[in-house]
Amino acid sequence: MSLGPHAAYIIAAYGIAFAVIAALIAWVVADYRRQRRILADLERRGVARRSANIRPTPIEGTA
Amino acid sequence: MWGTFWVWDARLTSVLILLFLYLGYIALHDAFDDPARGARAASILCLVGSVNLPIIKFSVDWWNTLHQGSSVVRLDGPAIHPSILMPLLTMAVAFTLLLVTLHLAAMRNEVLRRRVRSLRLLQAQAAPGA
Repeated sequence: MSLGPHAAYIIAAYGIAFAVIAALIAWVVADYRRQRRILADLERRGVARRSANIRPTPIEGTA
Repeated sequence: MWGTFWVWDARLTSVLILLFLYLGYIALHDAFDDPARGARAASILCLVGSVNLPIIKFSVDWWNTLHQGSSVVRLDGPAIHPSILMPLLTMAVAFTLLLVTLHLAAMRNEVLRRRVRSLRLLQAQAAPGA
């Protein structure tokens, strides 16, 4: 397939678009993994949200 | 062919202003120590900046400049040949779906980031001497 006299511009435009989209996806995925890693580290050190420390109280007459 | 990389055309200029509004939004959002205050200031800028959207849409009708007039959303139907219109619409749908997906993933990351922030605050409060 001949891209004509503007082949360089067309190929460059596709290349830049692919690179930017790939970088965007990699950035979001890397950020997710980083936040998960930090959370796992904090939980390993015993830091938990207040809501995570609340134990459900048994309803009267059922326990 | 327009025969130029840049011209101070009404459509190009109004979209350039939109780019500056996006950059300003990001800068303003991160300019405060308190994230809630940053979010409030950024949301006000967002509301004010949305005035630019109809200006972008109708810029090609209001000003006679290098950019062609409306060619997709028209009362008498698209003025583009189907061989170009179909790929254009297909890619418009594809990019919309891609960016919605990335936005949802980024929102999930933001939820996790805020959880990390609150846990670190708890950790700091629980530290001896705090």
